[in-house]
Amino acid sequence: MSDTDQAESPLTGIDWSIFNNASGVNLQELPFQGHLNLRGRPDESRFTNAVIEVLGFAPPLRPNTYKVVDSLKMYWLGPDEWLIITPMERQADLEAEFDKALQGLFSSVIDISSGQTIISITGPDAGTLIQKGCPMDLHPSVFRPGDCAQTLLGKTGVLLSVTGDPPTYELVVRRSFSDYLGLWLLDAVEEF
Amino acid sequence: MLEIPCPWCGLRCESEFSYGGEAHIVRPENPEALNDEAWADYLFMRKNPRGPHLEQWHHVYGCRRWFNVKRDTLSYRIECSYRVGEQPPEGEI
Ligand SMILES: [Zn+2]
Repeated sequence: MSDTDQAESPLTGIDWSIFNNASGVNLQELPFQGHLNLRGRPDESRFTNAVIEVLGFAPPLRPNTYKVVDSLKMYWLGPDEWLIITPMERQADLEAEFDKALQGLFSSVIDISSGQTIISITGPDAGTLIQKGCPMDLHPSVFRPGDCAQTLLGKTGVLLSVTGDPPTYELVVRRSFSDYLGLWLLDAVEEF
Repeated sequence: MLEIPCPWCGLRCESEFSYGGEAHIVRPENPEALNDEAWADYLFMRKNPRGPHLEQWHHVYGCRRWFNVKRDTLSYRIECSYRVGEQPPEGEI
C-alpha cells in the first residue's frame, strides 16, 4: 500500500462540483488513510497495556466515542472492537508493532485500509444534510464532539463522527457502498 | 418504527437492527442422544406467545452485538433489554 501514486480512491468517479455551489455545505474526501481494525478484551490489562505501548494512549471504552491523539483517531466500534485511522505512512509500522505487542493475547489487528474511505462534511447545513438520511438524532445537544455512531445513511451503514463548533462530520463508508453514498449525497445537497 | 434499546448504544431506530427469534434456547448437550421428537422440538418449536416475549436482536448496522429484549407481542412495548448470557431482570416469564 506504499505506492499511493498508483492508488485510486473508490470515489474517484464522483463529480463533487455541485458542492461548490452549495452555500451551506462543504464536502471533502479523505482518501488513502490507514484503517486498522483492532479486537481484544479491554478487561485484560495486558491488552490495554499493549495498546498504550503501541499508540501511546488507552482505547476509548465508553460506547460510541472516539479519541484523537496527534495524527491518530481511534473509534469505539464495540465492547471488544476499535477502528484506528492513521496516516498511510504509519500504517504498516503500527500493524507490525501491534502484531508484536499482542503476541499470545486473544486479539487481532487487521489492515482494512483498502476496504473503506472517509468523507468529511462541514458547514452550517452539514447536519441537516446528513439528517435527511440518518435515523439518529444529530442535534448538537445530543450528538456532541467526541461522539461517534455506527448507523445508517441512506440505505448504507456508515461510521459517523462529529467534531468542532460549528460541527464537522466524518463518514467512514465501505468501499463497495461509497459510490452509492456519493450519489446519494449529490442528490441530497441540491437544495442547499 | 420501534425504538430498540441496545445495551451498548442506547435507544436506536429499528432499521439498524435485525431480529433473531426467541431467546434462551439452549442447544442440547448430547444431540445424538435425542429422539426425533426432542430434536424437532429444539429445532422448530417456539413459544410464539401473545404477550411478553423474550427475544434476540442484532444491532447489525450499529455495534454488531447480539442481545436480548423483553417485548410484548401484543402492544409491541419493550420492557427492557439485557446482554447475551444474562437473565431478564425479573427472571423467566
Ligand atoms: Zn449497539
